[in-house]
Amino acid sequence: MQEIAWSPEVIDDMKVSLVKALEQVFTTMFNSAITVLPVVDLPDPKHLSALVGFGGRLSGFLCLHFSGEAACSIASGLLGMPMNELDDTVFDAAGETVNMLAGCFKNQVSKTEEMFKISVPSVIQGREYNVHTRANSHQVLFGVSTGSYEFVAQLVLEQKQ
Amino acid sequence: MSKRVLTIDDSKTLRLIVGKYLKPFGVGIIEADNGAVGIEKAKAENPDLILLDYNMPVMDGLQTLEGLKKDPALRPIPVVMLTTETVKETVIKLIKLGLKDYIAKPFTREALVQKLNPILGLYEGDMPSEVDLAAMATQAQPQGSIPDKPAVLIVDDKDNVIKLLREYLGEGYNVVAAANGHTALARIQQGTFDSIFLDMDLPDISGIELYKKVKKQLEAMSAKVVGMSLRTQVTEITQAKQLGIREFLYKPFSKGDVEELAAMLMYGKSAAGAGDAPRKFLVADGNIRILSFPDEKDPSLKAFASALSAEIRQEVSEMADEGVTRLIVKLSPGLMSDFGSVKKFVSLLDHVQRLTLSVRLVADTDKTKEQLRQYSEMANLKTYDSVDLAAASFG
Repeated sequence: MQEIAWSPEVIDDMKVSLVKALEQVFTTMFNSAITVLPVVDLPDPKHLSALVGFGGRLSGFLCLHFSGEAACSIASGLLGMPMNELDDTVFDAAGETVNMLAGCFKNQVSKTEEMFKISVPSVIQGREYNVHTRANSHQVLFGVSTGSYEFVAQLVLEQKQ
Repeated sequence: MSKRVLTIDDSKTLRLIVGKYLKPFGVGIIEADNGAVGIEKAKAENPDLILLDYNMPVMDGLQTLEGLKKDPALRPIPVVMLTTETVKETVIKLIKLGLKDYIAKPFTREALVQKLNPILGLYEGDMPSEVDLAAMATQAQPQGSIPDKPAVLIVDDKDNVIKLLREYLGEGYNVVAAANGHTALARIQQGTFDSIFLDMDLPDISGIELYKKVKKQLEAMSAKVVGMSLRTQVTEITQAKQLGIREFLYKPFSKGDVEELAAMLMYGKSAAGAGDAPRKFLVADGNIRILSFPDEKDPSLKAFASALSAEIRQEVSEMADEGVTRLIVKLSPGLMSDFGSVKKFVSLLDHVQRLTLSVRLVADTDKTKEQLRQYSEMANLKTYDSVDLAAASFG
């Protein structure tokens, strides 16, 4: 197995792949364009984070962090019905969004060989939590705007030793 | 007959999206949140197509597909995978196992419908436009709306019993099956049934225990329960009768046994033609018969709702036999107090139309009118403000 050289260019390529995956998901499922925002802090207070784990040649996770309103907007966009409260339907919709995103991202980076498998999605809700990553992992973190709401995309990757 | 699709996906969101996308085509959606439940539902419901996710807990898509294809009864059902998993090697492996096709997530309605059209025959010619689809969705019977046939739930762990009952009941019923008590519980939570054939000897929970758990819900939907057992299970039969299960279908049963019992339950026809003199629900007023719904708080409401598909239906048939052709139905919010009553009432109206009777509906309160508007099947029915006005309208 060839080791990945984690140069800034490789990290940029990962970001480009993730943005393409975001565009694919939001164009197809939400009929909405997206704009990438400069690196931002995670929403504070946080309300909801939906994540999918990666395992294989690459490991890590992909996480979308939403405010409560943005999470409800995501669910409304997917289901075509108004959603105003953080309930199981909203959690499930956020999980499915990150699941589809992870699949698209995987397809972007696994064109010649399968780089990783993806886990079933998990959703975390709360106000006082932080997401810590290992020191030797590589991270891509940026904000995303749909024009109606914003959220944060976080990709953390490391190569299996 | 509308097509039915089983969606096996751990995401409720995805199952809802599939339902939304296929609704304009009148497709009925059956849902399962994992592969194990999916295989059980496929056995019980025999859908026209299965949409299968790959990345799921309990059983993944590959294991589920293997389970579906190794069962001779389920093997012919086409399976289409709806998945983020599009790695070539995996897809080839799935196709070798018998996968019909796959759709990559994310997906548009157009992509889903175009893939499924060759299998389900959803439309002819060009794919309908979004505008047409919106109109079709409005016209299509929504999920959970009122079906035109009595709904029957069969609860039995033996496939041959379910198969025989389905066969003997025939096309006149919407039959749903559950192979164990827990599946039956889920079915009862999700649906409304006119009648339930309940095996007393289930593997996970006894028929008696199951009945105790759902008795109130069954009463609320005016469902009639038929116990199924061997004649020798005297203790269970006695217990069931003490709890309120009046009818029994003894195994082994014949086609005649089932037809006789079903007719009696659904339409109030006793095979023996004997029994107590029935209460009369239709009141004669000259050459008109009047049926009045009890008010919401009237203690007789439950009995009235129960009689809608049996005794009242019978009385309507008898008035037609007597040559009386005019019927006035005075509605009340009591009718709309539960979904089962509404369903029975719509079925009664169909019966009235088949007998070519003239019927007038009276809604004399705002609450009654408002509640009528909540049901698509009744929202457009013409109503009169009083019995007198309705009677005058006959001319």
